[in-house]
Amino acid sequence: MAETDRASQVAAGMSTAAAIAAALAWLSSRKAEAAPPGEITIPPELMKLLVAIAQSTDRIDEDILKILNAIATFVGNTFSRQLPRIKAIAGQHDGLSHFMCPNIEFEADIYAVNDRQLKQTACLCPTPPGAGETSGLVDEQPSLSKSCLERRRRFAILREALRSE
Amino acid sequence: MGDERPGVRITKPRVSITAAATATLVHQVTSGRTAILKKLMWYNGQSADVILEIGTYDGASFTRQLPRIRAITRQHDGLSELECPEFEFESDIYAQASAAAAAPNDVEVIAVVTEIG
Repeated sequence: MAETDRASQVAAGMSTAAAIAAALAWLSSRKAEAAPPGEITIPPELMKLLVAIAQSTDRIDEDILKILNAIATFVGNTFSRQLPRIKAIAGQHDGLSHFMCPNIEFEADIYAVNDRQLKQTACLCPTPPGAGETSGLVDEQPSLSKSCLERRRRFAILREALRSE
Repeated sequence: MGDERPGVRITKPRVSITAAATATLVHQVTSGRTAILKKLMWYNGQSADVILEIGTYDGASFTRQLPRIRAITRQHDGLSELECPEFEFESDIYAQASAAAAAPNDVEVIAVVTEIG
């Protein structure tokens, strides 16, 4: 009986690992922007991950709550661009005058992002620069935006939490 | 969209044009009112200049209301409230670009309008 339980746990663990891998692959490939209100859908990769985790735990409520908290934190760090992109020319100043600037009413804090590593065209979804980060550049992985790295970091934490269960 | 407060300047959500010559809704005029375009800002994510048009669309044909706008490749620009022709739209406001693709190669537009009536 114990061997059967162990086998089922291993199978569930493998399923979880595969689901995490699929979810991470989806995250790293996604050009994330916040979905417009009312248009959110749960991608199958994440749903499989949730199901796999639920199958591999004896404390479904607690673990799912952890995941929901992680997702809430993740969503809170998603950058949603409100204005069209702005090309900032090297060595020059510029600005949007009172007459030009769209009068957007922000319902949340306002952030600006410099995503030079992705060239001026691809302001995908960076998070606000953290403490000590002045440029917002990502030296380690220039092809990734900061938020992609942040997302990977959060899921790595989630993965470690699951491993320690 | 729609049902805006009359006489109050409204900034519409940013619109992404992702296909060439495809009318994309910028502002839905509330029934019984008209809308005056006050400001316009855009960004061309294409690797070449594109022609951006602002006008109306009846479901089949696009009617340009402003002169054509040349949006320079990978640059933002706009019509300030001092420059923007205050055209009074009697139907929904659309934008279309001569070339566009999925982000980041899309053409982005944001408009400020005032509805009257």
